[in-house]
Amino acid sequence: MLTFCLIFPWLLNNESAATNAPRLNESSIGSYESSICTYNFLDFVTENLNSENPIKPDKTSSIECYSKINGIGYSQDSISAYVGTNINLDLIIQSLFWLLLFSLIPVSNTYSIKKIEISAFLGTLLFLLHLRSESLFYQLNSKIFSADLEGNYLIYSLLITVYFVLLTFINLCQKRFYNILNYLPFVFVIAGTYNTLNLNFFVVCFASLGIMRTLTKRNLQLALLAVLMMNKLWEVQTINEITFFDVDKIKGFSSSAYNSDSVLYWSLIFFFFSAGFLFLINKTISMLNIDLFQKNLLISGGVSVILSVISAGGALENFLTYYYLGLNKSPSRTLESVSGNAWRGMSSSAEGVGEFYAFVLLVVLGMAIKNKQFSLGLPYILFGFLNIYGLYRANNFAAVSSLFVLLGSIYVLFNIPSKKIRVLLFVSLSFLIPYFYQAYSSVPTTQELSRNLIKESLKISYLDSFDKNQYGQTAIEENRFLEILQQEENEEMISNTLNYLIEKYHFSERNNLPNLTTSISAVAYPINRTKVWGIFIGKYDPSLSSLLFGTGLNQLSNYYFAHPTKVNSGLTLPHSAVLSYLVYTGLLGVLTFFTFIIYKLIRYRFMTTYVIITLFFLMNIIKSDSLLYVNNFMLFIFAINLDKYFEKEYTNQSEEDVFLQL
Amino acid sequence: MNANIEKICGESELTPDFDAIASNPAFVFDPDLSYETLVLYNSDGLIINVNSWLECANYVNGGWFASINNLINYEKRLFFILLFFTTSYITIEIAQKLRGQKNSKK
Repeated sequence: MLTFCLIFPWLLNNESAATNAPRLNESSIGSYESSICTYNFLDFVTENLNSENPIKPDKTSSIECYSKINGIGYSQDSISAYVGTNINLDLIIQSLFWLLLFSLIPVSNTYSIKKIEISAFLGTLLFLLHLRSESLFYQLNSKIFSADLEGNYLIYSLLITVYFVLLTFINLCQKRFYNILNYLPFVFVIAGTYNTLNLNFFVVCFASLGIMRTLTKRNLQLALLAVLMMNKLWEVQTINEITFFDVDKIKGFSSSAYNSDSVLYWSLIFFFFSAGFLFLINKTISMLNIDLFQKNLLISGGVSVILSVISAGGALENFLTYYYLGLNKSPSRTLESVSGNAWRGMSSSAEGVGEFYAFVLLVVLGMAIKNKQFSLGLPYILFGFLNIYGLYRANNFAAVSSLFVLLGSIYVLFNIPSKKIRVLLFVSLSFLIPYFYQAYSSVPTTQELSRNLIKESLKISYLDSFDKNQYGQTAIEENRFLEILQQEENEEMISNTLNYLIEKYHFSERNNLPNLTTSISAVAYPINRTKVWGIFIGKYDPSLSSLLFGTGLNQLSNYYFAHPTKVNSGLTLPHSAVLSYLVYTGLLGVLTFFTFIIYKLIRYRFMTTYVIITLFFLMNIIKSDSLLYVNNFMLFIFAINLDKYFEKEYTNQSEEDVFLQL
Repeated sequence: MNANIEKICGESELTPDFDAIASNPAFVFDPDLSYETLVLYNSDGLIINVNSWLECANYVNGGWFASINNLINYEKRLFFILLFFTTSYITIEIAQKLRGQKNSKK
């Protein structure tokens, strides 16, 4: 069936009368351009074996032009061939492929899920709300898309497919229920984002479980009520509607429009997805097979690296990897690193996948350190090396450093019996590391640190009309920030956040304690976040309401467009999940989350393994956008709920024994 | 020249001036007895018989096509196929459930 799914779609529309495709080069471009929707993809591939011309999806294709060559993109460097893909067929083919892969999870004891049909039906209605709320995104992905329901067979087909997919998923889920979490790491191989839809397979499917759960649980119904109340607060802010926001690499988990319907949809889908996934965790985490989970971590990390290398090897491999793994964007076409010396491979974010590789190594090496032996066989050792290679190429400094710090902590905690020595070691290291960092790296002075952040923010603000002094320096270069604030014409150009931080920088008490601006800068500098956080500060211009309550779950567009800056094209993310969720949920959401996490850390402080895993994620989400990606989000939710796994173990065993199992 | 012309109408040494034909309302296409009559369709479902290569080329250039398939609403057809599969799936599911209930009563 899987082979059928891989080959059959590209045989569609393969009429015998079709003309044979010529090899694509400069002389045959004319032939391709005048024969749109004529050459079949298989013919094209056969004629263009070993060609380096990129193959890209033509997302707006009609059904009859699916899998045909629908256009040529010509630039000095390359000639790209556009293969017809269609919104309806993508939904069917990609869902079928992923459902088949999901069905490969071994069967466990059956869990009887109630209200399957109604959950699938409500999930389908939610999908309809999504289609209508993000019309422009879909019009850009289908020439015939219309939100009008009358005689609209395109929408009817999409709805019936989603209903069928949800029904099938829930049915497959019932029989594999207690085994799904063991195979969770594979979400880093199958990302599950649809080619022509702003949807993710896992989000939609787990949301249907969440709907089912909400229909049967009182506390979830109350939580839904709270979300709907928050939604009312978010809706009020959608006076200035944004019809299109290019979601690019966060496709499937971020809204492409900003209107009351899209705010409602993303609030509901986020709630139901989280509820569904948490339901699975709560019911099955106690049956987690930690050995199998560890092996699957190694395999999925290793396979992800192998597929990344394969997809960089050729145009066909690159296209098929993108399509069948549901990647948010095309994989890297080369093995060379790009910005920041990072190589993302097939992942949409080098940071996100780097965090995953580091997590794999933390679990596997943490276990080996504790056990003083590595019990896994040779294939798993090889997969381990692939993970190390992936982490090295992802160049995620925060993930690597947190990995080393936490592995060191595991070693100390489980190998040095004296509590006094352990405390002494931790205290001395907490002072020595910053000291050596300060002594041997080129850290600027405290004043310069604060100025760097402010300067980065001012750079992206529309403030170009400055007089220059005799040395050609502007007020920004001369650090006269307050003067910039005081100029009336700059009032609208400077974001509230930047305004606030400049005032803090200038007017804070001189009491030898760092002010807020300096504190943020001091954190940002060593983790290489001065520039990107500077951009965030320059762009983030919240009203009091959006500062407190945010602009809605998975809604970045208001943050992105409401305040005009020089960085309003392309996708420049805040580079901190904390900042992203500040935009989504405001201070209320971020503070509630941190209160919850701190409460859990204090309550389960005796569960060393749980504390270490949670700290690993906390250290990383501060500087990375990983929680904007579905797979990283799922891993994070899973990790912070591991206390339920260890809690069960603690009732019978000592801490040391529990760690032996992990 | 439109690649579909050669595909639908066949090869010819003629180089038609479509603009001249379009701008002359009195233009008459002379039938070519050696040319096998072809049936062309347009998106409104209209049908026309063409009796020469030039006539065929002129209509194909204007967006007419040779296959009735081009008139099919693929979305509609896909919808009914999906409806059939989903209904069958649900029917089988319900039948299995009922059978299971019967067996458990026994």
